[in-house]
Amino acid sequence: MLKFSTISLRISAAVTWLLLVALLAALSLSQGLTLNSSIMSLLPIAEQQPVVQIASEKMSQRFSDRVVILISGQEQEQLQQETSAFAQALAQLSEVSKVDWTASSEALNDSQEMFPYRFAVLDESTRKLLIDDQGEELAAQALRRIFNPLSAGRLNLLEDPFGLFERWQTEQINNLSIDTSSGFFEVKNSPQLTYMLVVTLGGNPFATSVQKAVVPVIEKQRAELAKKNINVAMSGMLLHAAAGTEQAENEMATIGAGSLLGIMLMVFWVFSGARNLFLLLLPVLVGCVVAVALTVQVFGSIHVVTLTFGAGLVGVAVDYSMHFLCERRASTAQQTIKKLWPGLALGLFSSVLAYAAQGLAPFPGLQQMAFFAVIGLVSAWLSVWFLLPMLTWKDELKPIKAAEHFLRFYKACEHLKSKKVPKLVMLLFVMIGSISLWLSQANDDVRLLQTSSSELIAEERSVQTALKSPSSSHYLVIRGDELEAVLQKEEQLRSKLDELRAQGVLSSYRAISTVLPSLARQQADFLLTQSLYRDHLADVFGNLNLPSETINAVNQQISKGPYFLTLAAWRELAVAQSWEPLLLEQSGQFIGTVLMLGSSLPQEAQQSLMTLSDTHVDVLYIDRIAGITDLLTTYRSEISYWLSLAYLAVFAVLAIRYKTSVLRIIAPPLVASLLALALVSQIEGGINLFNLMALILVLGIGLDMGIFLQETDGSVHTWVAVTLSTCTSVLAFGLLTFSQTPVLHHFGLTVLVGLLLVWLITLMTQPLRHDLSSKQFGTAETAVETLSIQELTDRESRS
Amino acid sequence: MKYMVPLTLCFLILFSVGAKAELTYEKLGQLTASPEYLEGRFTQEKYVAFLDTDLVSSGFFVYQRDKSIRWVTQSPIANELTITPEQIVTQEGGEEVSRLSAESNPVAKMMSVIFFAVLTSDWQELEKVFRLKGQATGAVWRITLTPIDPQMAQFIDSIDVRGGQYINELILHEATENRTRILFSDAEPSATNISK
Repeated sequence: MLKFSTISLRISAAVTWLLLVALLAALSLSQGLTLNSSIMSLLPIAEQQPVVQIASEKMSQRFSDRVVILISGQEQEQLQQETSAFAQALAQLSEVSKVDWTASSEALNDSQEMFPYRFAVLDESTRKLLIDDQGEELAAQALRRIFNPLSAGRLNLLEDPFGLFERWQTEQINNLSIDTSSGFFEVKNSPQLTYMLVVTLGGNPFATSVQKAVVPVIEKQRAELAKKNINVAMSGMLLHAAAGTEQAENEMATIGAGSLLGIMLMVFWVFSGARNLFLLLLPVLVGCVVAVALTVQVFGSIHVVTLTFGAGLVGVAVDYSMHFLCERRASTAQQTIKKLWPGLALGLFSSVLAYAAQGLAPFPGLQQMAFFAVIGLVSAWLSVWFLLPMLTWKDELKPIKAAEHFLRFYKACEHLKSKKVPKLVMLLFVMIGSISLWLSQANDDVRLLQTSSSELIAEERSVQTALKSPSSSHYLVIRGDELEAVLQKEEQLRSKLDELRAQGVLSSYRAISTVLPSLARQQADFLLTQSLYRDHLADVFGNLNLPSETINAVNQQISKGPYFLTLAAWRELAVAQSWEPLLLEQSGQFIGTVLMLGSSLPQEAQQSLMTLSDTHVDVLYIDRIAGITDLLTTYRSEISYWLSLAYLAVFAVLAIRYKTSVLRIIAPPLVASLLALALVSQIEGGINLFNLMALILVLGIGLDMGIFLQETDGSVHTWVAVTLSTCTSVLAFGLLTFSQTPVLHHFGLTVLVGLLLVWLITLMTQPLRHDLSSKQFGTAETAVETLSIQELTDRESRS
Repeated sequence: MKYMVPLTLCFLILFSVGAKAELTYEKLGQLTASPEYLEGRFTQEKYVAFLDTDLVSSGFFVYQRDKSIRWVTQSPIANELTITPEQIVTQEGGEEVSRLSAESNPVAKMMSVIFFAVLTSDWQELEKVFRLKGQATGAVWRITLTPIDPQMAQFIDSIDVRGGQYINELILHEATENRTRILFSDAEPSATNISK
């Protein structure tokens, strides 16, 4: 009776579990998988001030939303045709929201929009002349302009005899690196005729759908134009993201397929049967599906780094099914469960502890990875529990060939084990390893995260240089509650920045106060203009022999009332569009501005800027590169801290059950980790964050090994399972060493070395229960079984 | 003899038709000369609508084909402009006062290109930019150029030019009511650089 209900209970549990999993899978599929590969999302939400957070968001948005294309060629007409064709090909795509490639005629009207403000908004050279009391120079220049045959169409003697507006316009145009006179965006000062196209994306550049839609079109155009001797250079986040995706896909195909094949072959050889392969992978598959589904539910999207790291859980989760299947060959399903229950539970618990430890760190990246790993492990474990016994219920006991091979191998190793020399050698290695580790360096270079090829980066740089684009990684943030105060601060800073520019230390800068001066400055400038009119208007008109009524009429213009440019009025202007990103607002409230700096800042410039930032309370110098490096350093130290904590916690928990034997379980992963780190730091020249992350995996697998071997007291089946698990994990992750992505490479190398060492050390520290085994391998286990049945009958007879 | 009158009339009509032929750029090219060097005097009258007067200046010019134009104003102010395809240099009293590169002011660039072309009778260049309408009587011609590009039409309404072997008069009608009229005289092709 009891047996029946147990079975039906099992069946219903299995079915329920499968249904739950299917539901989750369907749910996540329906919502679609959003893959996130931006580094930004790994960064902790600012312990920094909101103004800096918003500034960095805006700055990275500038880069990520657009693709800038430069087309160069010899012949103007041909180039113009090709540019227009290229633009139209891209504009048709639904993932592209707009393509800017031509200066429209509205632009010409827009250029006059600042005219009403000409008396209060002056350009630098005019202001300088007026401050230096050089009004007559302005008058002389005005006269020359009047008689210049080329100034036809631009003279407005009534409203602007000094040509103040044109002077301001010329300054603005001089600051641009684009010349729009031909109707196209022509890049100034380029060796060949070059036109610019700006493509604004309608979707996320990290979404594979956008990449797959836009990048092939661009590449096709590029190839066709190359045949016509027209060169194309591009810049934009989309290209880097697409290159990253392509590399990942290639590597998944080669490395992924390779390791999968290797694993399948191994499993085939050990278990001989496709069915067993399926049984082995089923819980892992379930674990992955549930982990992905729940992570997307909770976090909204899943990060590529999570997937990469979470794939490590495959290595640990497959252990559970491996142990089950190995043991199942020698015992019935019922017995297997009974035998393995404590081991599996402890194994899960310790692994979860190790992974969850890193989830305590306040970094979204680590948190998501921990969540993914824990959910995946637990689901895989539950699947082993609910599904495998049912699916293998009727299986007969069949010893594994591999077990015999292993037995022989172990006996051969025993010879070595007994001698003192190997132990001394190992001790020596540990000492050398520890010393080299002590002396090793940490490597937190931001280039660790760099996935793009050097050609892509060089192309990017060439476009930025050609356009004299400001740097998006170094800038100043000026915070304040009032726009006027911030603009005045900017103007103050600008005099310092002009000095740096004169010294040649700073190439350029972009500040909103150049197009929207503070009211204080506008008022001061208006007074200057008034004095100019008062003192020097006569100089101009005097030479023209005109009646005084004309001078009155002109003076009337300026006394009509000054037009001061307010924020509201400025926002209406077309010129405001390209300057908006420099204005920082939070929930409609103004909080500051960004002052952008020319790219390639030498050390000197950075020093001066940091000094500026130190002297002025509201001015912050932001260096994103240093910021990311700091972040990596922090992540690295956090992980090493939590890793040590995990070791201690696991030690404490396992000591409860295993007492002194806990050393045998902890020592292999610990020693292997140290040696692996030492070796890796010798090879790579430093330890980085990803080496440490790999050690968590080494800990997880090492613990499982130790716990299972301890639980079954070194049963041969467990040994086979453990060896198989090591091999499959090495195949799965060790092969990542060959990846071009630095993250994966460092991760893979550490796993490769670490796991091999764990296995070797475990081989030396854990026994094989060969005192019970005899030549007739099968009889040994039957003897054990007989014993258990004997025990049962004994108990029954006693009760 | 009976046919004398109608024949003469025919000839006269033919002559006049032949004489007042509708001009094309090609024909103009045949009528005008475009020497390596040319110098001459000019009188510039700028009619400013709001003042309802002409601002008059005069001086001389020297041009080197495809290279530069020196535009020296002598009265009422002394000013020298050197216009090249890339830049406009202003000099006063022999010293350079300003240098404007063509790229920095697109409208100035446009104007200098047109000015260059008209002054040097570069009809090929003008053909790209203007529609031609005009007539020639023998070796003397009179044309009106209207801009093709709407961008340019914002500044220039039309340009009237009259001349023979060289240009005699140029009137630039602006989109506003202003206009600039330049009269050329004493045009002489010369191999030497003159400074008067």
